[in-house]
Amino acid sequence: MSTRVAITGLGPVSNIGIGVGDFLDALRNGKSGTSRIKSFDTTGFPRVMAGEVEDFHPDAILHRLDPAEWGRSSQLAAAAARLAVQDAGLDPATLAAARTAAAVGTTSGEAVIDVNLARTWALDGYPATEPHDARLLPAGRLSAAVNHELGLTGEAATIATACAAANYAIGFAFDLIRQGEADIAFAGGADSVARHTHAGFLRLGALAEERCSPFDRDRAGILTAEGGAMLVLERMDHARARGARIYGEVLGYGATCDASHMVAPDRNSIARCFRLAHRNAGVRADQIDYVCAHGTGTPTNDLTEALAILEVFGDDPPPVSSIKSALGHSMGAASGFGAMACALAMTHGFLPPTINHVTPDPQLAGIDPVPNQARPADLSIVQNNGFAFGGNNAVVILGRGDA
Amino acid sequence: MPDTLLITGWGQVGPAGAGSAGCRPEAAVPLPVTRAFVDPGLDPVKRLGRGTARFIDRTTALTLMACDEAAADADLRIEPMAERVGVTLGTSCGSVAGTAEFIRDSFVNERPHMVNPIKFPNTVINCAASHAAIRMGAKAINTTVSGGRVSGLLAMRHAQLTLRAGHADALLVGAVEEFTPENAWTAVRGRPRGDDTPLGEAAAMLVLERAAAARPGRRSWAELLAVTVQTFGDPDDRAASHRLGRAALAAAGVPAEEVAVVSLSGTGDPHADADRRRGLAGLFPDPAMRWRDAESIAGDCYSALAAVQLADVLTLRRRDPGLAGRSALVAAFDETGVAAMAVLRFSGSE
Repeated sequence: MSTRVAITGLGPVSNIGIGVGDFLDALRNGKSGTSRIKSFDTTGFPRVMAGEVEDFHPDAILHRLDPAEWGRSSQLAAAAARLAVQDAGLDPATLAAARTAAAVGTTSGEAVIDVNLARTWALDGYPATEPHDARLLPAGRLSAAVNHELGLTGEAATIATACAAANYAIGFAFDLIRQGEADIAFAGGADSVARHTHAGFLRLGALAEERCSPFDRDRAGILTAEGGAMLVLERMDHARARGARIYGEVLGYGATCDASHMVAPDRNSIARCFRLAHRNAGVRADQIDYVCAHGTGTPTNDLTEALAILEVFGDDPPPVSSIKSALGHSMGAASGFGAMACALAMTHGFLPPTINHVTPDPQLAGIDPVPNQARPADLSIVQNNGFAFGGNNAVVILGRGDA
Repeated sequence: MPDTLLITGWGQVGPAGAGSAGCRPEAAVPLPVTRAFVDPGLDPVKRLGRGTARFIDRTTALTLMACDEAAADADLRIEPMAERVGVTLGTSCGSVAGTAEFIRDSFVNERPHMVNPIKFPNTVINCAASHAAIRMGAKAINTTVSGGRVSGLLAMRHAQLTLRAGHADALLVGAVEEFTPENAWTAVRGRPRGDDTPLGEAAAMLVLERAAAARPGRRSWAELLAVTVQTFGDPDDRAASHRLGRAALAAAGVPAEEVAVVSLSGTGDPHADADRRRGLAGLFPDPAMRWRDAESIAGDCYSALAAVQLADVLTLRRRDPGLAGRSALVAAFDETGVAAMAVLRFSGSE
């Protein structure tokens, strides 16, 4: 019998809510977290909306880290891990006695620092390089921040596999626990809203003007967003022995690489990823009750994803919704929020909605995007999709973990 | 029993691979250093072709060249097993220069969104690993890990778990660091050194395979026994290397007497470096122990360094068949307090 891996804590630092209670309420009520950008000067930008976490006050959450010494993405990761450990009810003695690991997914690491440095070099010259910026830049700091915030001495890895990174991190954490290398692992992702990410998606023609409307006929693209999304994964018997609340169970994951194009998604490779994830999790497609979509809201992504779903699940697939409609695209944190949405959906018996849905897309016939309103549902096995630049796909399968 | 993992070949670009020493780097903009370990003869256009070299950043170019060399060295023909071959790459930030070049347009062009969309993927940290997958046709799991100086060993750790979980049969595993003006300024200002080791650039890739997934023509140079990663909260923890070394040997099931080579590179903090050396020397008192310092041959190539260390100890074995059956320990420490050690056992001749 393989070692089972429970999900025992959720730490969302998101633009729809900080902490699991607010996040759950917002998710269920279809609250939107996007707004006009405040973190950088948008003068001259034809589009100005993003999903910033405006209410994030690192001092209020962090116990040990000095926010002045860490970049925003590291702060988000560490704060999310702090909330997750509290939600999991893990006391310091239990943590200290356990073998731990931290795996933080990210697309850009400290993207705001990237912008600071590039602006300095462009406008003030290389010798003006700020030591503080240079010191805070390395992406490895995101996972080190989690361990230092929680006082952990176990292994740490930042997993920088772009927009599927949190699923990669969850997968790695799952493998660590499965193979007996850790008892408890903090896994998820973090990224920050940044000027160049906004500009880049705008220039690719993939940025929406007002809102993100995945699976809508008139969907126009993503809104960039940020957040920290950390989950506590724990060996099932360890979790049960301490009477932990169990949100669900990681059943397995699959990862594929298109190896064909840096930006365009590849339906066959995504379908292969679904099948691998099902096989590794020991489930059949017809057992999946819900798919938390990558669902970026670009015309290409949603079509490609829908066709891959129809190919693997047949003409009558399970409901497929995109929480990016509410959160925007939080990059490396995105599939971490997806995994949380899946866990909460199973625990509380509802389907998270795709908000901003106006007109069904005839090209996506057969896909039920759970438009605009959450629906009650009894969910046993769910699927969380994450796709990334570079054709890196990762799909995580979760179960209820109550049997 | 977990799968046995074999290192079947490796490749490296940068001065250590090319055999040159530190030289005077050239750049059109001010550099913070006058000497660096770079290979002026390294020509991505010649090695990769103009079509590939034109739009990629320096980090990606170095990675692709090292992947080519590693696959050739291992005689790894990927196409028949494309869906079972992946990439695991260590890099601290992706290309600092490629990212800055893209962002620059937003500040100097009249309209702030007029950036170059073709180069947008260069800003994403997994750019090099993704390009490697495209070039090599490697369709299995493709992972990028970041951990500063420990990146190369974090890549090995991730690859070890990934192969044992059955996500792939073979992985191109390694790490990369570019020498560009942007990266040099970041290094000099962000992690000033207390010694005079020059900066360097390098990429080193290894082919790591599941022994159970046999393929014709394969030769094993070493078995990966363990990769142990820990985080040290106290930067002045003088016993860190000793404790981590003990843990790595225990994980590998290797007695200290079996170890013939220890690779420990400096980090630019002379006191911490001396403590680490002393801590490991306590585990390996044998005066015949071969101590290796990859910084002396490749410079401070930061996130590539641990992979260069691995390639260095493997090269030692290739030159010295007498090392067959003995083990090597490769150690790396990062400023964040994250440290890692790998234990390999050199294979005999086949």
